[in-house]
Amino acid sequence: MLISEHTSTIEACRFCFMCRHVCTVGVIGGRESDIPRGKGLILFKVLKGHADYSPDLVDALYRCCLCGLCETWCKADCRPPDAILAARADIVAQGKEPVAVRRIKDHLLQTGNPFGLPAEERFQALGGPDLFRGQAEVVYYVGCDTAYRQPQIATAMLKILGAANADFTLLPNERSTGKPLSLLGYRDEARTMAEQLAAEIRGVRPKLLVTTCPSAFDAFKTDYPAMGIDLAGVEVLHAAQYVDRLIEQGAVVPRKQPAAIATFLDGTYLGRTHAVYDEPRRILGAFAGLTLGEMVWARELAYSCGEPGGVFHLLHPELSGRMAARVLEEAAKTGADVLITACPTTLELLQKGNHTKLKLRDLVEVVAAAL
Amino acid sequence: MRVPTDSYLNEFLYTELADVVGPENVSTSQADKIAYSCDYYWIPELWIDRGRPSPEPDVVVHPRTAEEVSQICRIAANYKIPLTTWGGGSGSQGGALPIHGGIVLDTKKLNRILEIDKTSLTVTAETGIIMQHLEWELEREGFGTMHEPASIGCATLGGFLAHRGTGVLSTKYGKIEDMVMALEAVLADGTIINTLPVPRHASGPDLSQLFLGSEGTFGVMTKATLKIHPLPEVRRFHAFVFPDLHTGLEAGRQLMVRRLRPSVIRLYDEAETRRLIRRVLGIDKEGAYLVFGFDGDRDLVDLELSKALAICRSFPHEDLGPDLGQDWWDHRYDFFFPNHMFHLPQAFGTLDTVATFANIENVYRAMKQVVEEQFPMARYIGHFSHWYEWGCMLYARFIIDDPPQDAHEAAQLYNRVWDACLRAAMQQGGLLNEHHGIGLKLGRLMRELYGPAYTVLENIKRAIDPNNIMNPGKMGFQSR
Ligand SMILES: Cc1cc2nc3c(=O)[nH]c(=O)nc-3n(C[C@H](O)[C@H](O)[C@H](O)COP(=O)(O)OP(=O)(O)OC[C@H]3O[C@@H](n4cnc5c(N)ncnc54)[C@H](O)[C@@H]3O)c2cc1C
Ligand code: SF4
Ligand code: SF4
Repeated sequence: MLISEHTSTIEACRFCFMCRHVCTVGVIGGRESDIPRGKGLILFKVLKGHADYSPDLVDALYRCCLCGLCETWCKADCRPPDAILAARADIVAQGKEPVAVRRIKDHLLQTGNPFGLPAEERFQALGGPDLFRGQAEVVYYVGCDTAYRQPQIATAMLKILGAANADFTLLPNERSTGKPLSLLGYRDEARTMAEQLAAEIRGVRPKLLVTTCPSAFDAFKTDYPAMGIDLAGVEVLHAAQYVDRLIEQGAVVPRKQPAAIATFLDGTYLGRTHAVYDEPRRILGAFAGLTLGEMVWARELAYSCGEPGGVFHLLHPELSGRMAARVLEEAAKTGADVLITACPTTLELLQKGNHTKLKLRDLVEVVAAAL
Repeated sequence: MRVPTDSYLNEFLYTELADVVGPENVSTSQADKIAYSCDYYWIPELWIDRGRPSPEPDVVVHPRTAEEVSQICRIAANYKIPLTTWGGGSGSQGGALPIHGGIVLDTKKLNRILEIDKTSLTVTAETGIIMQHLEWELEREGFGTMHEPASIGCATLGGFLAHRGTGVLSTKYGKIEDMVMALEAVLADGTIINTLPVPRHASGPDLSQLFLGSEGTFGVMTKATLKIHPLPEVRRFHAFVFPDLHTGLEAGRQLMVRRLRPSVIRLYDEAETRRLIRRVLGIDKEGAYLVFGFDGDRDLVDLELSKALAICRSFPHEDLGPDLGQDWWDHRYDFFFPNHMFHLPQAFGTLDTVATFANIENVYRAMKQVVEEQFPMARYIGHFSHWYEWGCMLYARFIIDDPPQDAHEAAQLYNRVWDACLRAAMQQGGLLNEHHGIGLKLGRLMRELYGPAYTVLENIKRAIDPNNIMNPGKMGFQSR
């Protein structure tokens, strides 16, 4: 069992409550099985053979959005998300994953996206064949949530790439990075999908791989190297880092914007995992007129909508709606006019539940509008 | 009584509960049965560790209003099944354990802040709010309850009320029972009652105090109004090491009887100084580490601090200065993460007790003697963390590094240590507990503690909960 590699986390968490108040799902869901202690108790029982992965326990193990706040808060170096991911892989190995999880996997394998939408519609909203080149310096990896749900983010990114005169291409056969599969426990399928995508990327022989999706960013930065998948030395950047660099180089020059207060929402992969905190703030600082109002919960302690891999909200729409509502309330307390994220999944979730006066934008949308 | 697990009657119970709170707020999931079968008490932890089956709830409900709580109480009364209130489950006494099955009522969705009265400096909140969430919201407005327990992130307001909990700043701001203005509670028959709006009056006995410390056996507290305070301009700390515990105790006593108003005094015995203070704070000293702090307006703090320093310096001492005191404050919650806390396979218990200054050192030494003489497999350590005008609380601990593997033997040894230590403490004028409560753990000793007065408590319990539905088997009250 893979969870046995996480025995120290499981044994520490099973009787510890110290991160309950920051656990995103725990705070919203309110169940004792939601917090790392609950997960630790369950996993301890499974580990010791005192319980099986019954449907109830399996459901509980998919009720974690992998936001990583517990891990950030923990002073004992425990990693509940890793233990939960191992459990999901064990569950899949036993063929015990819930039907809803299997459906997402089938969609990913059949259509290359978690929604089961036709692969040929992926870039429908973005325009014609001039987006593709056989070889280019920069590959822009769009990602499923951006392509199918938030194409205006890709449009904005294309505008920025154009303004910077970048030699870029999209991948004609772009599919998911495979990350959602690994987060759901399908490690073998995830690897196959990753290898296919990596081959597509290598084929273009780019120097730079840039994406507007933090989940994809983490897949390229963390998962692919961990799986030994070779991206032929290509540099991987999230759009926030890339645009920050372009502005610094003077390759794009945002125009002065009307006065407004903006607040920026950090996320799991871009923030907590890769510590890309300053770049988005520098970019926003480059717009004369825009004032940044920080949330009390910012940077590594930022509230989460549960964006990792874009799968939690597909399984738990009601819960994730309430998680988004909490983020919106928190952002509204800053008195900001606009809440800016750098994640298509987050933007989608916030838009669905926006009951505030806040305008919601992706970082690259804000930049593109000022070009 | 309990609805047999395989009876179709359970379906009716479930339907009625779901009708009140909505199906998403009722759980019979095995995941929750496991998660609610264990709180922070060592015995259920041991049971889980050894793979033994533990008592579990039949159903967990998450009400969102006092009215829903009231209807749940009526359902429990109708079925005559136990109703155990669960806040954060962080209690160390087994108080929230559903030892007879039935309904667990989780309060965490009763979590709204209803009013911050900036004129009178009070806050009214529902009792399921996580204490840290309440404190963070108050801090945004420039206030705090100043209730800062180590479990501030783990536990609910209601849990603290139910156990008469305490925080690190209690020496100035009081225990939770000192902070309460008024309460709303739901009784076993579903009646929703409110206690009087202010705590100081001569209009009969104080009903709020009846519910404080009642551990869910008298009813479910659903709302509380607490005093709040402006955030202090400064908070200053200072640390000393005294050659021995006795000197430290005398210094601490002087700070109190000279009627200074420290927000905190914490004195660690030689063993804890050697072990915990070194490990968590990296301060490598022999003797008894004492830290105190003052908070408030800068000039007043400076004045009190100078008087406190003079008192401490009048004893043989090593002055560690303000930084090593500030360090303690900055890391005050670190002690409770698993890398620093005692945990299984160790057996451990917090023998927290309280007595007058005249008795407290004797209480400390009596328990120490019991552990050392009767339980050679155990260690004894302690600190003194909450100080009053008349005495202080002792947070003593026993630790058995290698308890028996057999769960029965381990539990029996555990209970023997508790009984022997607390009887020794009571003989010297100590109480069973100061801020963690009684729960399942210490119920059997309540009659010894109270003597004939315990009948008064039993009669109140019988009058207020005639069917013995509310958290049966806790605080020494009748089991089922
Ligand atoms: C790491 C750690 C550190 C701790 N440090 C401290 C500390 O510094 N100070 C301190 O005082 N305690 C401390 N404790 C103990 C514990 O947090 C307290 O006893 C706290 O009061 C329990 O609150 P809870 O919400 O978790 O209650 P639970 O454990 O869920 O319940 C405790 C009891 O209260 C009853 N109850 C809960 N809510 C209500 C309600 N609304 N109405 C009626 N009855 C109710 C339950 O039935 C039960 O009997 C610590 C615990 C941990 C895990
Ligand atoms: S992650 Fe750390 S703080 Fe959270 S339950 Fe586990 S050990 Fe405790
Ligand atoms: S990853 Fe997020 S949701 Fe999952 S247990 Fe940790 S804090 Fe909770």
